[in-house]
Amino acid sequence: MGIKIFTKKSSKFLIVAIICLGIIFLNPKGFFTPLRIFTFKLAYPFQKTFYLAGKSINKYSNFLRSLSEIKKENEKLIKENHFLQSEFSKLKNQKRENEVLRSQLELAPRSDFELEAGFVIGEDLQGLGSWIMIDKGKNDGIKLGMPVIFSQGILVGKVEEVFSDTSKIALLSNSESAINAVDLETGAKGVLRGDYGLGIILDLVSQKEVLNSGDIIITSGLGSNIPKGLLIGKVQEVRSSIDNLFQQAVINPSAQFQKLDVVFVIKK
Amino acid sequence: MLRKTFFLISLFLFIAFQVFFVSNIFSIQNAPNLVLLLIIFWTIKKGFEKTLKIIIFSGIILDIFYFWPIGTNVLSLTAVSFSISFLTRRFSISDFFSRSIMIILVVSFSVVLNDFINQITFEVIYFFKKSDEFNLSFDWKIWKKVFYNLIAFAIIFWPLKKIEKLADFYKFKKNPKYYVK
Repeated sequence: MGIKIFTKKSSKFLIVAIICLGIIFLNPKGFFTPLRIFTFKLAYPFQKTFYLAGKSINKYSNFLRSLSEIKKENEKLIKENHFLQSEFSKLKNQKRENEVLRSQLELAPRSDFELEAGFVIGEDLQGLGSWIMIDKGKNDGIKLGMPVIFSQGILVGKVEEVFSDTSKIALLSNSESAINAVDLETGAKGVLRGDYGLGIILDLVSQKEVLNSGDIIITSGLGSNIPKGLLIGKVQEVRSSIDNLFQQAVINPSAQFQKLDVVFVIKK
Repeated sequence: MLRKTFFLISLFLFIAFQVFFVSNIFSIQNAPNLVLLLIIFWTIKKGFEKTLKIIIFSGIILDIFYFWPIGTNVLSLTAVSFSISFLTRRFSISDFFSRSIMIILVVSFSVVLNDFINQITFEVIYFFKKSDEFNLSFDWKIWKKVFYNLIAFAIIFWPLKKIEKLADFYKFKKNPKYYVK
């Protein structure tokens, strides 16, 4: 007696598998958005509680793990403290210089923006670091495409999806994001995009332009509602694109995407 | 109806707990997939067909929370459940030791299969989207994940069994005729 292949069970499995494949690959754009909005609205209080609880437990366990290293670090810090005291006087002078340079470099001052602070309540769990979720949404005046910064005007990404109380932020490392950027030292212009969680690339830079390792990259303010002068990072490595038509630069971002707790959405 | 609603809400909270709490404590490579373990448990207990509705619901909610294309988790969980049901029907083991070994093998197989299907789906999506090279990677980290999932399964197995017994008891109290054979 042979094995019966198309049993009721295997037919059910095949039907579900075919429907799933169809939905995944046809990917009807926006079809599931109402479902997503509804689900996130339902999950919002639990999501926030679970995420923040998980984060604090994670921080606490990291602290416990690092206890053995603390003694060594303490000795090192005492040495460093002596050194830093001597450096402090020098830095006072450099601070004044820095302020002058900052205005010359046209880095955008934070006071120019209307900001909305948001706590990070979710992140890309695939380890690609391509998005985060914040606890501010449509009800707080957040709109699609708004730039998101942290600290002193360091660009983190832009708003990709808005729900009633939450928003999904596409980070600079997101392969779908494209932001116009410029090399502060040489003026070389390009488009910044994520490299599938592997880093950030300044792409489409003309071969005629100059890119050097260590150059600072800022937003150019062209084409989108991202203001000019937001800091992105430094050039780590310069290379040619596969077709040799353009230059590419691997960027070392100033923002540490894994450690973001609070970010600011630029509303105006 | 009330029981079903309560069950759905509990499942929804359980999935939220998995995505926003468990995945935050462990790194993504090591985080035990409690939803997958739950599906394994129910497939072993009730079979593939009775678990299918739960799989579809869980898969969709997981896809929404992870921002993955809808259907990805439904596909992998369905494949896992179908394979488990296919395997367990062919091996009927009664003694405790052999049954434990069988469960270890089933959980290990399920974790690897789930990871494999998710990886393939993502690779195919990226391949069509960006014409990048097809790049599947499997390294020792998967065994670390298997190990954590086995521990998690050992922890949740007995409480789940108790809950299941309790649920059966209330079902029996409500409709004793149904249980008369």
